[in-house]
Amino acid sequence: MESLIKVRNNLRKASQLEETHSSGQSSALSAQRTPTLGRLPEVVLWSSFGLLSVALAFNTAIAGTAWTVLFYWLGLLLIILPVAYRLFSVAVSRQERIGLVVFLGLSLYLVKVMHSPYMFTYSDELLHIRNAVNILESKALFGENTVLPVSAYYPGLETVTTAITSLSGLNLFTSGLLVIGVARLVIILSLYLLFEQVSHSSRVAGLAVLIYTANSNFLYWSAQFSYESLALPLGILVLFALAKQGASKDKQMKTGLTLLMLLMIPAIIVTHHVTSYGLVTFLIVLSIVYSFLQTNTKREQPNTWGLALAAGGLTLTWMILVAEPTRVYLYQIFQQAFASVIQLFTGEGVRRALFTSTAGTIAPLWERLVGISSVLLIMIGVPLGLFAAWKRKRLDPFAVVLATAALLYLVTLGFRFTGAGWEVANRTSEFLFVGIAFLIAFGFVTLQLKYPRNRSLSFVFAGCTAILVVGGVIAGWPPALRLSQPLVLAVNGTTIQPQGLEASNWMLVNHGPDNRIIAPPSDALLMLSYGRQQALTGRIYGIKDLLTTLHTPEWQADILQTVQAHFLVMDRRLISWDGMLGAYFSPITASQAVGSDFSPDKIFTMFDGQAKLERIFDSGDIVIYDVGGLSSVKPTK
Amino acid sequence: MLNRQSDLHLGVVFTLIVVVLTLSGFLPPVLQAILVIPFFLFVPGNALIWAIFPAANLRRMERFLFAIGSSLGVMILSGLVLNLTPWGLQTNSWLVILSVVALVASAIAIWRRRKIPVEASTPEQFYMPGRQVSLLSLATMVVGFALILAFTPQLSHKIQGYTSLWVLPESEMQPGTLLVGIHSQELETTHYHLVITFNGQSIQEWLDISLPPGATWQRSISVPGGPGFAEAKLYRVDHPGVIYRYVSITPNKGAPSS
Repeated sequence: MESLIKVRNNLRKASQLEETHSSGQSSALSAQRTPTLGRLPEVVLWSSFGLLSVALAFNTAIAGTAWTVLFYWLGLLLIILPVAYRLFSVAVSRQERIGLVVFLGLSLYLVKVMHSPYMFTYSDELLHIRNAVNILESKALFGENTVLPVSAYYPGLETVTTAITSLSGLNLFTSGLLVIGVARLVIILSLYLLFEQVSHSSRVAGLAVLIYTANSNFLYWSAQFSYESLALPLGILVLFALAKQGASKDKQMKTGLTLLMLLMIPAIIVTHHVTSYGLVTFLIVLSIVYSFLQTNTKREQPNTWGLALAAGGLTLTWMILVAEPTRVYLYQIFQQAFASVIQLFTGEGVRRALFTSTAGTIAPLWERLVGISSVLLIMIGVPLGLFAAWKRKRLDPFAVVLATAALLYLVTLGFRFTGAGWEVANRTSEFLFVGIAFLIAFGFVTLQLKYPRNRSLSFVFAGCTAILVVGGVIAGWPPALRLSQPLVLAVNGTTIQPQGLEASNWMLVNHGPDNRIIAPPSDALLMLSYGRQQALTGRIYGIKDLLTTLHTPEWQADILQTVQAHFLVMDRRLISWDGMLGAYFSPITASQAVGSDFSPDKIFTMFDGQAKLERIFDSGDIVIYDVGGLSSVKPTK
Repeated sequence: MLNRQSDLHLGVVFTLIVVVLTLSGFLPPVLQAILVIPFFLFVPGNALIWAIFPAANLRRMERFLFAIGSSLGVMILSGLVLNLTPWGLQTNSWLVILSVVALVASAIAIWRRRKIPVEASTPEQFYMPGRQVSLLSLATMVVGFALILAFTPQLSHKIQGYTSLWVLPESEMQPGTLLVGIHSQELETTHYHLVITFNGQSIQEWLDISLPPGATWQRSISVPGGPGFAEAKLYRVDHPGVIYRYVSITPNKGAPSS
């Protein structure tokens, strides 16, 4: 009990200290004026050298030296550590904390921009850029997307992007970068204000945002041009509005916030399926917790049930009336994940080797150590935060729901031991990590308030945060993709591009858009986006079998006629079956020299010389056949 | 002197300027982008938030966040509305719908704010010493340099260049004509030897086509009448015995067989 009183007193003192440093308003009155932004400019300068180091790593990535990798990690640490150390300090104003987290969020976004600076190249980005092109050309929503049909039914991101393109004259790439940059700003500010609203501490809020950046998808995945990158920030904004509404006694404010949420919720529903389901789930759980706690607190419950009902009803309506294929699409993903976890427990399934790529490459020892350490730190931080939250926040419905999300995150860690489960665990991390970030930050601040004079704690926790962030990057993004991949190369005063891009541009120029074309995933995505073709890929209709195994001409003709394909792309690079890595140049490696990176010649050339097939394009690794003679499909141009 | 409705009046004027300048097409693209982006991402939401929360009871940061968030929300939902109209999602329809939202919301906000008594407030003072301005300027330069570096194309170490060869029926109007092209994406100037055959017989040959990196070569080729099989074989002059690229086509598809 005594220690609790001590913590409360320290908390009060810390709040007073924060208030004293809070703004130029008070400082203007004092004899010696305190800069409004505190030490933010110094931190920004240090961290800017981190960005420079990352840029250097990306620009020399093709050399693949140890120095390049060192510059990359050093750069990330330089971006994070000064911000982290400052956020851990007690005597920092609210303005400075907001400045620090905004700078951190935008700096990490710049890392993604520098990673892929010329055009969108991530597989999901290529899907969405096609949807955006469809809107620009047809002036209508819901155009066809042959690789991921579901994506076209959630056009929020593309709507905003094409609106900016239409009016500003910027190209889609620049408009897209701008929209995602704004979304990044929204998520950082929303998270900060949400955490501040729940914890009543700008310090907890700043630290929680810092810890949130350690989620495995924050650096690259959540910064890509994809529907979730816009929907999630809007979702967090709704959570903040809800938290503010719950704490407000002003009736006009409550009504205003309800109106705001009723504007944002439909916008989220038409932007991303999983985010809208996540939001509905959050609202339902929050309503249950409110109802449960109401018996103890007797406080007035905001109309969370009404919002949950409205959000759930609209989500369901959208899915039934517009986005019907979503049900099957998501069912398959979750069903596979749960089945693989159950199989793992029953001993029937194969355990996924951690820190091992699909190609079988094992991560270096230090990466494995940092990855495991980051998980251990979370496992230590969560009970600490739970204990602190139980002492001080157990009657706060938002704190209870965030703690529940954190516990759920720990459960999903088990999913990472299976192939299908990893996908679900990784994709849910940016949602559930909101709870982890809150609990760890809350636990830490409580701990530090217990030992207010122990300054080394700030150093220790800044170091721990660095491990969390680096561990997150290691866990969330394949090693081969962490550094910028070669896309536009300088050659004798000009530039050259990979064969996949060359082939897709050639198709568009010479055969027009919207031809049905069969290709391996990386080529199909380029054909879909930049070639504007109706590309088909993967296992559907036996396409993978058709492109990778020898069959009779009759069987081949049967497949081509079924899918109504007019063109077929053969790519001898095995990496073309990787939708993320296949778009780039492949550096010459020892394995490439002996041919193990390529399909056997008899497979690569199996369509040569066949009657009614024309070999119309050859760039060495990629060959395009006109198969209209076999499938009886006419060209669109 | 600015009154307390100045921001909304400014928003209304700004909206009208954007509408006029966009419709007139007077501005160069860069200025157009600079003008339009804040219009899209802030003005409609800001007006809407003032209309919803006319009293100054939101913190500045909260108001800013809600303004951006609701601008995004308005754009997404406006897109759905435009999709139902005959005009669809195009420049003018976007301009109309967002201007209407911004102007109507501004009018409501101005009307609602007039009814709220003016509260005395202490303006926040922003203070940044010269040293901090210098540090931020230096940081901006470092970030700028980082971006320039990141946008500079990588050098072509450890990368193999390539050449594309293609063949097309030149047009349906000229059934006996083919278009053959070569595009060099090699790392240095490359010399090629191209042979065109029809039913196995050489019909045209180029002994030395020299192309620097990035260059394209293209020719129309007439093939003999009647059904047959045309092939183009590309060799590198420095490897004369190895077919470097190969394409084939069946011209004169409609021609009767002899």
